[in-house]
Amino acid sequence: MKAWESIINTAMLGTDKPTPAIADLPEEVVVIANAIDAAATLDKEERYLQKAVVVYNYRQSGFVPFQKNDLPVNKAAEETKLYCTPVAAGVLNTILDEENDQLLQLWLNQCYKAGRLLLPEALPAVLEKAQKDIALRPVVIECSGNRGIWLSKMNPAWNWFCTLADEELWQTGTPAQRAEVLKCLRKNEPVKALEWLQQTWEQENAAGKLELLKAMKVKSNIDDLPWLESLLNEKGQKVKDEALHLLKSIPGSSVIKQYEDLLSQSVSLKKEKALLGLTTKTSIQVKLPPVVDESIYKSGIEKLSGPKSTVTDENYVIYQLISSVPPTFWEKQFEVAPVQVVEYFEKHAPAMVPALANAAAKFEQKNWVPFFLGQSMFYPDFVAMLSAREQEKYLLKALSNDPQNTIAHAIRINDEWGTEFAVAALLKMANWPYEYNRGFFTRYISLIPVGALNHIENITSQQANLQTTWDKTRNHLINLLSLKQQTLKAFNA
Amino acid sequence: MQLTEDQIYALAPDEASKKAGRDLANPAKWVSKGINEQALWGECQGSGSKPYQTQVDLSAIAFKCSCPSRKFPCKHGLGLMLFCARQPGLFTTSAMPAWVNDWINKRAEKEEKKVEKAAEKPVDENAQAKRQQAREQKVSAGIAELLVWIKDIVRGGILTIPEKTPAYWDNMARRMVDAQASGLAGMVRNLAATNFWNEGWQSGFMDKLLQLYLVAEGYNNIQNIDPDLQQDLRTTIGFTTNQEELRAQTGVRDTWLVIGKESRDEQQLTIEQNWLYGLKTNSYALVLQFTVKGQIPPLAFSPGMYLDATLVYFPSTVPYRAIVKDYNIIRQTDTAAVQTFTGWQQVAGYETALNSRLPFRSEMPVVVTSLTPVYYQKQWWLQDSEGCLCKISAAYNNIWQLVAISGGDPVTITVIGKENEYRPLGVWHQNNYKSI
Repeated sequence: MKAWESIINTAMLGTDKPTPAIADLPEEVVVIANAIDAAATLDKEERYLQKAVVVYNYRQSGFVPFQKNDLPVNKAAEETKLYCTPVAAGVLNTILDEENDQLLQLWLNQCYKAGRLLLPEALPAVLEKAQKDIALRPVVIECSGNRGIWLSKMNPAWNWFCTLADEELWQTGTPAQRAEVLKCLRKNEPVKALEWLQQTWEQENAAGKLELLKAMKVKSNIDDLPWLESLLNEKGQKVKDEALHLLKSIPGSSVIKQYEDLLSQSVSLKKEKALLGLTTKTSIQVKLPPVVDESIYKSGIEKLSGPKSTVTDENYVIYQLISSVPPTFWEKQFEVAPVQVVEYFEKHAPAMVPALANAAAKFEQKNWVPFFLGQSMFYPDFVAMLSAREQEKYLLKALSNDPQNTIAHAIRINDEWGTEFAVAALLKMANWPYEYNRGFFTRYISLIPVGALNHIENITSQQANLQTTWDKTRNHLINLLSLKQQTLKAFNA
Repeated sequence: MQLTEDQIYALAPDEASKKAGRDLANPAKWVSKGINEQALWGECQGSGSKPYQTQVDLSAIAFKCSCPSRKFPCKHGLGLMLFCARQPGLFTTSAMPAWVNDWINKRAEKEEKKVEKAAEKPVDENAQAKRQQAREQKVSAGIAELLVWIKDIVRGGILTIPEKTPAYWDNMARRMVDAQASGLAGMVRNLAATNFWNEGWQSGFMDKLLQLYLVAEGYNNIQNIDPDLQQDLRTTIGFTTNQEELRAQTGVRDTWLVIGKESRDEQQLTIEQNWLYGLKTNSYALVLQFTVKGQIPPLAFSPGMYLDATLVYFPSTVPYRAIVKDYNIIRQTDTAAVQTFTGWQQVAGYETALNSRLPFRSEMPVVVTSLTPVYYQKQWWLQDSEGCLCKISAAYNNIWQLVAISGGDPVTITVIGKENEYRPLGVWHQNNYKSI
């Protein structure tokens, strides 16, 4: 508005400069402005202020809204799925207030399974969460419906909604996106993933090569060997190291063959006649050959056991080699079944049994696992290889011997714990309330089953001085479990 | 109980209370509980040997709890209400226990006594007139100084105003406090609070300066103007209105919807603004509450709450600020009765009419139907069905929630602001009013 601009210009420079002329003012206020100018009692500041006040009120009273009829229509498409119930929406609000990402993930998973959608009003808060937590994005996209897609197109921060085809992402995506695409493809079509990587390998920089190679760890197999072996001649040391690392996980690779050769010379099963030939005495002889190819020490095998170690250097080298070859090697080497291999090692080379167990875990030899479960030693890597029932049994056994270590490994499991183990673990945790505090349960609430709620009131600390602290933590845990229960009820009622 | 979870959360004094209250909305925490038309009560097992006795007067939303917390409402009060809102089936209607009955009766007695006391209070009219005259003299003297100060500003130009030290503003604000013109002191402080880093600050600054001038100069001519406008000037300057006298008036009885609530701290005082909309009378009201820390505000409103209430407006050419004479919280009524503005043209006409009567009025809310949030020229606007646009205030930070609720469709929104810039306060969504 010109008159108002004129008022502001005068205000900027002061009334000693020329004040707005009558010609600058709207027709409707001219009469009043003339009356103000004619008032002899007013000084120039008062005249300016009074005219400014009139123009101010003229401006605010004469406001005409700006009209624009040709703006493109931008509406969200109709939803094809139903929204979640008000009860479920209420639980979501509480979870968002609680800022618990684990429970949010659970809620979203349940919502997705039930084929429901988030209420529109909750979308911005959930999208903000998913913006920071990439793991939430796939399920958030599923639960956001058409409203979410529509909303994401308007906010560049939420552009992760528009997912490109895998191939397009592989060609044009960011390094992180490309690595993620490769990882996903590797799960379903490992050969195709290898082809894709081979096609672009020469154009990748060293950092890119390293990240993409890490993605090849998923479902690494014998078909990868020729190409991976060729990477040992790469220029970049880190790329070479990663290729070697991958080769060490694929039976039949040159490095594993080298280890197997050395082991066949170092570990042998000796059968001797005893008691005048009536019985056979079996023993395992462990000794490195006089000359060892030095290249194995460059492949990651440590030569020395360390100054404080009670293990000899020779045994340490053999221990590492046993850990690095598939346990099936021993079936051929000793010409016996797996159960006997384990028995022989237990009887004649007990110090090497953990190495054999490590190898069974590393090469995911599930059929070897049962032979180690009865041992007093806890092998955490086996936990993920067991069925839910076996897992709970194994963890319960380990818990009584070494609670903290067992819990430390149990929290790495992806699936929810069984109620029996959860209650047993909580009974132990009650004695370390500073370690297993509110933050701990906030992080790992997805692992603790709702069934634990029935027992939790009876779980107390064995040390009276820790009871108050545990009580506070327990109350927090009860709240989290209640929310978990409400979430499950809301979608499964 | 009529309140929703959102409305209960809106009663919480802070975020920590909300969280603590939520944790207590759990059946395991309550040893006993009950509800009837008048009250909601429960005994919550805390860390002490005896459970805390928590009670809520449902007719006026007042709280009492035997816990030592100084917060109001305490976490137990919030927890009990949330528990009842979430799982009403677990609360059986029963007679109030003695401890609840006593409190409810005492509250009723107290109200009666208050009325009686007000009626009995003798007023020394002579002394009152003398005090009033002395104050008016002080205010006139203060205003004379203020006008000189304003003239100095416009003589020198506002170009160098951003360079002024805080003392420059503070001295004049203090002078206005000495002159017993606290309203003018607030306006001076508001001038100082202009964001001088913003491009175009000059226009906003001049708006405020001219309002201040208008009030000051208006007071000098107060004898020649309409009595209601006189009252507006006096209220703006800082003269108080006797609320007991107001309470004695008939007032406006209506079904009032709480359309917005905001609190701000100002010099150890919490100022709570509650905006109400009368469904039958199609009128707007602002109910202010001033509390010092630790003091319990007499009214506990939250947006979306429906009240069957009598409000008495402060005398004004544009009746807006009001006190609540009596009220009862009621169930949601038919929102079809809401007579909204149909577009920005109509709002502009309404505001013009108000400005012509009271040019220095504060911003008032309006309920406008069929508004669509649109993004145009790198900012958000609200577009009406005629294609007219008004800006959404840049300071408004819930824009995505509003956009998500709308989905590109027109919605009925309560906005507050003036001319072409407004801030949304709430929206009707699926027949419910939601604060945003």
